[in-house]
Amino acid sequence: MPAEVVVNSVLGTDAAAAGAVLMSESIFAVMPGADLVPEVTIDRAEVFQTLRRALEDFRVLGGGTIVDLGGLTTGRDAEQLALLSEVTGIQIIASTGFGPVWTVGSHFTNNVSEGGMTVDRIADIFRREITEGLLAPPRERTDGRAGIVSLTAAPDAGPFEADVFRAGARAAVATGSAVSVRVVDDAAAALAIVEDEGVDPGRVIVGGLDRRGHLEAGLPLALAERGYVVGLDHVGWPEQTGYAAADARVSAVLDLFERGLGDRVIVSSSAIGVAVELPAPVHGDFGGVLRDFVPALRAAGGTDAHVTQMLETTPRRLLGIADTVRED
Amino acid sequence: MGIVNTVLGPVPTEALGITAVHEHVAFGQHGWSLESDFWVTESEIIAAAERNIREYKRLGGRTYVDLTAIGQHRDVERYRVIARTTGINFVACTGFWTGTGVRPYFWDKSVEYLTDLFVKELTVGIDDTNVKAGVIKVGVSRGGLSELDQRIYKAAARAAVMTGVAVLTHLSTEAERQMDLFEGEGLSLDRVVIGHADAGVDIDRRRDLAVAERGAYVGIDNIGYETEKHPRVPWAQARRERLGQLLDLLEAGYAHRVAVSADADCVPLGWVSPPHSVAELLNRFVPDLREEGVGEDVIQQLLVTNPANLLTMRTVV
Repeated sequence: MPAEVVVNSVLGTDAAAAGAVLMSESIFAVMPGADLVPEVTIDRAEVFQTLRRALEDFRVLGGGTIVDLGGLTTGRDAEQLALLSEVTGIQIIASTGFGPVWTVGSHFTNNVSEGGMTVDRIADIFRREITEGLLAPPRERTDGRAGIVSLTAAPDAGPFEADVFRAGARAAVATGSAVSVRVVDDAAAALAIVEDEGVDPGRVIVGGLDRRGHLEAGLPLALAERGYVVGLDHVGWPEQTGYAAADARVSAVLDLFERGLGDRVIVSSSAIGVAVELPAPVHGDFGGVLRDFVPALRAAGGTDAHVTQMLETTPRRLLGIADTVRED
Repeated sequence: MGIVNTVLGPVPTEALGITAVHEHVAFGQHGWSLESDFWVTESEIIAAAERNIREYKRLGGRTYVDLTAIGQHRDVERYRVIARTTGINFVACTGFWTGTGVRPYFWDKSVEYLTDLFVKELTVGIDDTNVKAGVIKVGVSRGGLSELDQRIYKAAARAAVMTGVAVLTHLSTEAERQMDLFEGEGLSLDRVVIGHADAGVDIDRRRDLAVAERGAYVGIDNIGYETEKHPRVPWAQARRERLGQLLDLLEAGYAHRVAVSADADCVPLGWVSPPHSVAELLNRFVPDLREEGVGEDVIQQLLVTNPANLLTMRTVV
């Protein structure tokens, strides 16, 4: 029998589900503050039905698991995620961590306590989401646990972002969790912090590398050669948003396999199942990878082995909890 | 004389009596609840509010103005429970603490949008309730009035003119500019408290006199945040110093231009307060005033007459 991979999901500590894994998605996101105004109505039943359909469509295509990279500050509802997982059979992996700094509340950015907000206080929040349970603030922790640390670099973020990265890295080192780092521009500063805290690059997914400029500059290859897992994770995003055309993404993947780096790339859509009042449009959908990318990869010479590696083997390696992998 | 919006509906001005104009049941900056060690149950919050407000009422307090603004854990359903169980006149606010605490959804909103939001909360109801705000809260960000702060000030002034309510500010930093913003939108300064003049981070007694001279109220409304207490918060001031600051204003003839309150949190959310309660206004501050020889007529002015003048909704022409 092969080793059974154990993961932290929104339902608790589970065996990894069968089927394809999307490593960079978000189930539900709300513009912080949109929940406070009369002109925005968030109909929970309607949201649930929309998400349920999206997850069931993914399942029909052969999907098994979705990783929600929303973190704690973009509207995550741990109880909603658990219900969706139960109802659809899709395994949902929640992330801990913060979204872009502008989503983080002034409790963190303008703290009035003696000593102020510290890296260790933030790291403690992340670590306990992984070891004790997901927060349903200000009430309780759910049975679910965070399965990955999600960090997002934003342009012009300032020193607080560095503290958040350091905290996320510390939580990952303390728990053995993987770290997802989403970048828009230069990844170097963010990765320097993560490395400085001792995170193994093989446990770090660098997302957003299918921006046209990054591909043209050879950044995915350079980072894969340094041991990072490369996220070509904007399948379905139109070229005018700055991301590469579909065939360029396919070529980049095949190139990595040809160079023997096929175990260091993942493909996903960076879609948001339901987005409420976000400032920038979001593209892609949970079906895009299996419906569009995989056939295009095969048409360009990709094999079943490539697909299995990218959508199953590598994600399970990243999500697996090292000290609880059981040999049956 | 007029009416005041409370969370249980309008009351006549005559019902107000002794009033604390700047208080908090439970204030937290957004994100506090991600630190689970700070969690507190709803029943604990209500119990703490009952304890403090009942003590305040036993000492003669009749009205409590909660200045916890949009997005700082304001909860009018909770306030209605507290109003019923304590019998206090409980006034809630619309507005924002400072630009620092404003959530991103509002960052690019216009003065017109913000005005409409405040007017809706003053005339229709807060959140999805029919509980109407009775005053407007605004404030100065750390480091001074930001562009967003100034949009909020303008909107607050317009909403105050349209509805007849008063505006109370967080911090006296850039007091002249604050007053310019209100007057620029047609709001009379006798509808304004320039608050936290007694916050230890920003004491300026000449400024206080200038605020009163222009016709706004000076907020001596951090009463009880004293450097003698532990833990010591950045806005604390020595008890005698605060008293001296107030006596200056009284001696200059501005008893009618001072707004007093304790700014005490029944339950601080995500931060640690020194021991503090709205009751200190009556069991600590008033005895201090008497010891200094302040007359009962002046004490009445500070605790009853000034708040009544502020809170009574002006007739809108």
